[in-house]
Amino acid sequence: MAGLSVSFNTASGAMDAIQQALDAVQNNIVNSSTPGYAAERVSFSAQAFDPQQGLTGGVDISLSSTRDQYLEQSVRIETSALGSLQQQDPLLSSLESAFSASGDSGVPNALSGFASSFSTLSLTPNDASAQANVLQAASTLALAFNQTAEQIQQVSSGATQQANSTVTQINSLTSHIAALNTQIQGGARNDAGVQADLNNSLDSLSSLVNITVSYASDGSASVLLDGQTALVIGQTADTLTIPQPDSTGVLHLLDRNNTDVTAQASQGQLGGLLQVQNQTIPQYLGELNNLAKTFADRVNTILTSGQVSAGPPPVQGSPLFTYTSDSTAAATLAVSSTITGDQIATIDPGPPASGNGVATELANITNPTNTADLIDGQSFTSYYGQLAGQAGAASSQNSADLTTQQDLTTQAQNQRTQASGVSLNDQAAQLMTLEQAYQATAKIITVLETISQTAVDLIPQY
Amino acid sequence: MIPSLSPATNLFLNGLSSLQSIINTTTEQLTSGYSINQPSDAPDQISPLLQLMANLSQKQTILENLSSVQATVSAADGAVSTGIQLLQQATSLGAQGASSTTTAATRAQLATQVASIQQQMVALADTRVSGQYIFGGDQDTSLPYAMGPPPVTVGSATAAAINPGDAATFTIQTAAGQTQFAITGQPGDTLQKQLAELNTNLQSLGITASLDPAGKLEFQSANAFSVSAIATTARNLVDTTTDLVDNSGLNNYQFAGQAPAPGGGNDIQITVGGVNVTATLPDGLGTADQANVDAINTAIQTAGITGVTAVLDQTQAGTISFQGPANFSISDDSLASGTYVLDGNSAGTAANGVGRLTLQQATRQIDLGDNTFTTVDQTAQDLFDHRNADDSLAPDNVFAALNSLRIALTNNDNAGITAAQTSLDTASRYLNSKDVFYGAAENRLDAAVTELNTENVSLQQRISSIRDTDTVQAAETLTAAETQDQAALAAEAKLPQTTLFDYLG
Repeated sequence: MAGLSVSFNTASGAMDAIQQALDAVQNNIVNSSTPGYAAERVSFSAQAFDPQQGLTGGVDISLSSTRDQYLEQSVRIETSALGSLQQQDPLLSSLESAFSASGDSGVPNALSGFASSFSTLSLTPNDASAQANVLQAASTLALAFNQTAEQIQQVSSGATQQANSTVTQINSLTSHIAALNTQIQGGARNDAGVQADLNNSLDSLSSLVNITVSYASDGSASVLLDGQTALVIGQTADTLTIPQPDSTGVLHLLDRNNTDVTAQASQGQLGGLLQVQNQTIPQYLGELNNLAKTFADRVNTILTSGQVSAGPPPVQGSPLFTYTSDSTAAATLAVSSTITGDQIATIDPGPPASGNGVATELANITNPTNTADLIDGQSFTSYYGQLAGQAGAASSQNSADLTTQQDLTTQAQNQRTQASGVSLNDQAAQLMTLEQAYQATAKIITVLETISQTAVDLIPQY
Repeated sequence: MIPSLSPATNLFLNGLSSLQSIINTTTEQLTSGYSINQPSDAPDQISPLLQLMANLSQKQTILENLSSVQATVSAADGAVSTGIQLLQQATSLGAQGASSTTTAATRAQLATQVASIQQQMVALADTRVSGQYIFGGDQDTSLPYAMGPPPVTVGSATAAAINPGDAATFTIQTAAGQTQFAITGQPGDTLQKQLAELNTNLQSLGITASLDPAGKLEFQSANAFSVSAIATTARNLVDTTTDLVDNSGLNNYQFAGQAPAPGGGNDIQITVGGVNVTATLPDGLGTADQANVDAINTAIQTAGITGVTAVLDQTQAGTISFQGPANFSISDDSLASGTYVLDGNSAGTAANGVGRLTLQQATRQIDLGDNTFTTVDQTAQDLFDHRNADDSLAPDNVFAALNSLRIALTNNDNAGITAAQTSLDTASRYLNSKDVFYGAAENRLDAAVTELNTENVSLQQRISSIRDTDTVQAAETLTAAETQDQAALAAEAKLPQTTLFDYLG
């Protein structure tokens, strides 16, 4: 009977193994929609079987995760790139809308109106109505510059707020990851649920900022910003901060030691925000300010070199525009509060003198023949058009890149899913296989029980 | 399961998003009519598009300007033509006057007609279009000429703007009485602005204030007047160094010396147009006062004379002046007597019989829209008051020719009438030559307008080729995108939704 007992034990062990496998399949199925979950793979292995040597055989079971760290990192890289592009998309679109694409509105329309008002004034330089029209056109132009700068500033303010919100999310995620590390170090290393939570958190974090992940021997995840600055080491999460923008509007990302790590946040939503806030917006504002300043200075130079009256004594013209500083020229451009219509110079003292030479030069300022009326070798209108085109190209390129990146990210996710995802068909097939194995093993036990009964029945009854 | 959405679903949504973007863009293009609605629609086309639209705006404004200039040139051409006709009328009157059978009375009547022509010629010089004096040159808001004597200058230094808060008080005396007002400096004031304010006050008095070539304040009127100005600061409209600037202002005869002396002969004998008037002044006065002036004017009015008025000079105490268009003689039993003429033939009155109110220059350039400029302005002085380099009257001076004829007719001067006819002929040829200028100017403007219209059409076509929607292509794109969108949705809907679990027992 000793052999039958062994057989009973072997069959019983096999049923336990199958039960564990069934548990794994069940867990895979119920987590098939759980973000970050990687399927658990069941492996059976035969125990040594040599009855002659007393080796009774049986089956061993082992569980392993299908997670592939290379594919996980690949997804995180693509997710970071996608996060950056997704974050920049509405910002660049908003920035683009600050610029007029046609001459019917905004600064280009106001520039043409300004030139037109001087063209009319050139006919009747002493006409109070024409002078008033020039002042009105100048105010309209100044307002157009103000509004464009204001729109850009609004995008900047929104980006600053989002950057702060994003950093808060990053800090929250890194704290959560540190807490998961604590669980892992406490023995949950092979807990599929903890691992799913961890990897889902890492995915979310990679969407916010570019990270690299490595694993310690205890299974805890170490997270670095761009492979340089520690965000999570073991059970410790280091917080990031973003103070108010500096005087130039630039945002600085600081680590726990207040070291500026802005340059490291190159991807993810935070990377996209910093890119727009620290590079794109200053570039646009700088060029807009340059345009406003150069235009205002040129107009003022022409007007003050001209004359209101040839005299005697000659009366010099007054400057038309004012602005606070070079770096805020567009936002603060205004018509001088002291100038009146009869102080607008129209006379070019020459030689040769022209009673409307100043007015005609300003009338042609959007289509100049004088190289002094150019900015960077092009007309003021063309310069603005180039700036608007630049904003349009950036927005357009970002949209195209975003479409491409969405596909790349999806592909990476697809590869990961193929390797680590839960296939319901696979799980169903495994379930059927395990069911059959369980039934067969149970049948063996039934047979063994019959045999045992037969053997027992051989015993004489007294 | 790793992501929250399966990759296949993400791919499907990405594709749908792309299709929706195409549909949105195309719909916007079709509804707006423009293929470029924001810079990202065609970034490399924004700069050339904006420049083309700026060019079009500029050309359209120039076109509007040229239309206005054409109207002005046409009016100027008409005025010159009218001037030529007036000269012909004057020549005809001169021919009548030159006849040996014409009496002095007839010549006097003819002189009156010539005076009327003078008035009309001055009116032509002062022609206005849309409120601008078209022969005013660069000073097209200032009256170029007026009948009567030239302006008088007040003050001894260049005029300057009154400082804010300070004031200059002007006292104006005309035949109608005395008027006083103050010009107070305001922040931001310019000399031109204060001059305009001064003229607003003077307008009802028939007096015009302006700056003479030296920058001094001057006043002009067809009638007599006096101006005194007292400034409260060192810097004012009138003078820069003195507190009180006075001017006799009477651009006619000023009765020299003191008023009738006490106990002396107090009768002033005035002869106007053959009518003798005796004004008896009160005895015992050392200086003239308003009572003296009133007594004189009462005597003049009682005699039915309207051409002469006595006024009391406000700045030279006790001085009486006489003003008016009529010739008169005056004698005082205590002063030297003489005959004085109050019209353009008198000393101090321009020989061309008119007052030149502004020193005109026409230096304005008209933009023809092809980077070339032209001049279409001729000043009233160019046309009607031609001068030599030294500002003396040129032989072809229209005003002078007319005035010489009128004087010759008034004086019954036969030789003068003949000489005036020669001057009229010279002036007429001159004015005809100027008429040619306007014909050429009109031709240039017509050609420029034609060229600009053509160029504007070309610019609009270029703008349209960049900006406007290709409706057919957009409609095809929209249809294709909608079809793809529907196909994608249908395909997704038909994907098998079953798994092996659906078949488990």
